[in-house]
Amino acid sequence: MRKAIPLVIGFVTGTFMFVQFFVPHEAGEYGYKLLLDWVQIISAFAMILGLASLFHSNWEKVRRRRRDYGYSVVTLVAFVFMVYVGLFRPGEPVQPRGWVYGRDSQGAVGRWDRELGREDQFSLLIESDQDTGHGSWSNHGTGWQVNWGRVPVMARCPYEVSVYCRAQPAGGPVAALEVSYVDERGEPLPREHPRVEAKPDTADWQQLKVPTKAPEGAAEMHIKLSATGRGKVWFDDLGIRQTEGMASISPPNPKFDQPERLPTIRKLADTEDGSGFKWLFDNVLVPLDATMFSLLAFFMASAAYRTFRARTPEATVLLVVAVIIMLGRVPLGELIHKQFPELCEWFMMVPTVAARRGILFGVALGSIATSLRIILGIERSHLGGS
Amino acid sequence: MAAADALSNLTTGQIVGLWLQAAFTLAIFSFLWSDNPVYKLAEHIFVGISAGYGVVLVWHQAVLPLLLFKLLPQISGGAELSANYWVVIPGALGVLMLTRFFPKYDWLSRWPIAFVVGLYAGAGIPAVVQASILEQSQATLEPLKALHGPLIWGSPPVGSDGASVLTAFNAVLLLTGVICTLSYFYFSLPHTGILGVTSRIGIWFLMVAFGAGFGNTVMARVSLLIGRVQFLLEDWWRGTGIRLFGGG
Amino acid sequence: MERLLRIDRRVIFVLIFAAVLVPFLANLKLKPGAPSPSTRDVYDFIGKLPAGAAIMLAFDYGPASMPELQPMAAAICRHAFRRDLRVICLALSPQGFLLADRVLAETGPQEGAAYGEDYVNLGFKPGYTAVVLNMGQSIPGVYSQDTKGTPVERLPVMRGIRNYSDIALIVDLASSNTPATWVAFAHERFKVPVAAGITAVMATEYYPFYQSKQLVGLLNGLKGAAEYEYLIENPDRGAMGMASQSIAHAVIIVFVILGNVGYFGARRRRRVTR
Repeated sequence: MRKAIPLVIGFVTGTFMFVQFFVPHEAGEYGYKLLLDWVQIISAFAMILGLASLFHSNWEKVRRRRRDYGYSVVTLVAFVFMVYVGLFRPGEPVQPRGWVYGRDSQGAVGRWDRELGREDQFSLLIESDQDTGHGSWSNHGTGWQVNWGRVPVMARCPYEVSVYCRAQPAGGPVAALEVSYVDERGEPLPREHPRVEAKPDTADWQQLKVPTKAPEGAAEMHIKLSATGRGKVWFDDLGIRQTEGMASISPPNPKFDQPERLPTIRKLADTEDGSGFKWLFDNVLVPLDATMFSLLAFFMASAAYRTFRARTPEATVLLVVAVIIMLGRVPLGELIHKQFPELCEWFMMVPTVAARRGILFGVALGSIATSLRIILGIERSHLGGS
Repeated sequence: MAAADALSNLTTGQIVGLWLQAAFTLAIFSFLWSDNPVYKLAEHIFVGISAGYGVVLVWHQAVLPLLLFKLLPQISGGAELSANYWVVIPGALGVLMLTRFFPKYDWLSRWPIAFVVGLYAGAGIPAVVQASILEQSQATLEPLKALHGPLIWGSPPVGSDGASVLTAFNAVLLLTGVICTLSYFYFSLPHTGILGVTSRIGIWFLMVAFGAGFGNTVMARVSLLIGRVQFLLEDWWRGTGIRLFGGG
Repeated sequence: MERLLRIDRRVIFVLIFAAVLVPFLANLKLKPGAPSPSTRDVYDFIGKLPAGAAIMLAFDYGPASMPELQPMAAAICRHAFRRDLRVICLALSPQGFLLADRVLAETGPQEGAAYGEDYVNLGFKPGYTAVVLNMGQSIPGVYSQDTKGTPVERLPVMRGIRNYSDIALIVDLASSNTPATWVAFAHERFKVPVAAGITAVMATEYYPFYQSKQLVGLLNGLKGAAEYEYLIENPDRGAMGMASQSIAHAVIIVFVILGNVGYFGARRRRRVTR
């Protein structure tokens, strides 16, 4: 049982892939794609296995207080720290679920205000210290939030969108509410965007209302709350009402009170500038990796000096060709003789190709033989046994 | 860009980063003097950070999009519209891979391994035959056209100037080289007689190839060092405004 | 003579470091002459593609190979952007996709190209042979989102891209055996042209594939990068490194000669004394 099942699995997947190459059939194509998807998923776990065993071996070293275990502590701390920064993004601002601060913002900061709200203590805030500052919140952005914030609509149906706002100082910054639509593919629909704006009061909340009608082909509504000018603008209690018919529509997180949950299932923004993850990659991982390998330049030079000897005719050929290549591949060679690069190219393109191709044939025949042995279950070393 | 301008464009995070990069670069270079605790520390930080990097990447670019988003499309940000429960099978096979940590059940890890190895073996055979044998053989024989067109290949001769003499010579040399190198690796018969001669010639070709390989390897290693020196000079010294020898 | 055999390795280290450093300080520049045919072939192939064609750039390397491959990536991106080609980046190596970000963030704005419209970074996926094969069926099927989490069907640059039949050229920038994978599984099976930019260490292994035209062209190491930079008339880090590269090679050759002189001198003396 323990031996038979893996052999059967290997035989089935191997034979399927082999036959599929020669007999491209529709059903075969489907299975082919499915198997390739599966292999990718299994490969991900293979990577996890590798990383986990690295963690495990260092952990064991520390647990058993082996020699120099202090360095293993360093490795483990660095490991955990990188994972923490990459998955949980400490220090990055928390947003309310379903709402993203717009990338078109300039000179203004948007944050989730957890102190001032209309009925509860939460609201959206845009703050700027410049007269030209502009910022916006919207339910549409790239990334996973799109789904939380989605507002599906019915084409040709009239709606009324409203939001409360408040400002400081009074009569200072301009608050605006803007509605637009996209089709099923997420393409914006070319219609004018209904919009309303006001200079809200400081003392009390003021309601902005936009009547709108979903155009032909509309599938989703995009809502944008923006502020322009020096000062602070708060938004709260969003409402969407279908003005004809009975159906009601619920806006995403209308009271802006829920923080984003599942901190690890967020868009891959960790690759963007400013994230701690990218910072650690750029400033720790890159220099260490690159410098570690650049040490080889020194060791290579020292080894060449120590061991590269024209002891036999064969070794002399090797040495002479190496020197020709070393000169021919840099501008220095050209200074010595104009034809140096051509000579170098000839060595690469004729004798080297010949020898390398001989090796390649050998390797190819070997790998075909091994592949056949694997499929037929003769070769079992990869299954941990003969 | 003048050094002062460059500096004013950098954020604090970038400046700290540049100094950290420089410190790590020098820490690794300290190994050239002798193995020391500073080098060891940097080395172990590297191992930890790159492993952590791997975890974050596998989570974000593999586990989420390939597995979890397909099971829970509502968290996928619109990338997946409907659930695909087929991925439970490879997900389960993947989890079996982790049984390696439990000696009692580690035999289960052979299932996903057999799956992957078998699949690649099956996909590999036709690809290797085509890419490494058929195409490569053809490319070895095709230049022989330059020898004498009409007789052998039914195409007109290329010409009889010096260039085509060299082309013809190269074509013969290429074929000879491939056959002789192969004969060197043929161990089913003793290397005597004709096989002895061809395998001797094969060795010469191999030596040329290894020499070329060595020359190129030197080139590559030196390039890596150039990269680090460029960092130290261009990015760190000039970037952070350190003036070296009065230059900027 | 025997003293020549006893040079301390640290002396060699210092001289190698100096050989690389001094040309930069002295601002010494050495320009490579006519580009190698293998570099020229990549340049010509990209130069002949019609505007709007899509090339795929695979970043299959990590920071360790950056000095050689990053300048190639930048030069190819610049060339493609100037010719209004679409550039689709991805990585079979886990660290490659952030290196792609670096190149794109620099060359895109400088050449007037915009993210999402002219170029995209699709990121990393594990299981590299499977990724290469799978994209032959469907590229959006493998990469449903870019690295920013945007579904690919919403990116203008990905419009009309179904599989390899919509890709004009794949350029694999590699520090391991991935070009063989691209050749065997993308070129042979789906007939898409493949070119490679490789570290010089791998060069001899891949010239057979270039000679057989399974690779339309080959950029070999820092020299290949420098040649490409001169071809697009934008000498950059690759070109800057050529002087250091020359001097360092000369220093190494001198040490090899010293080693041999010392060795044969010592051997002759031993024979004489015997």
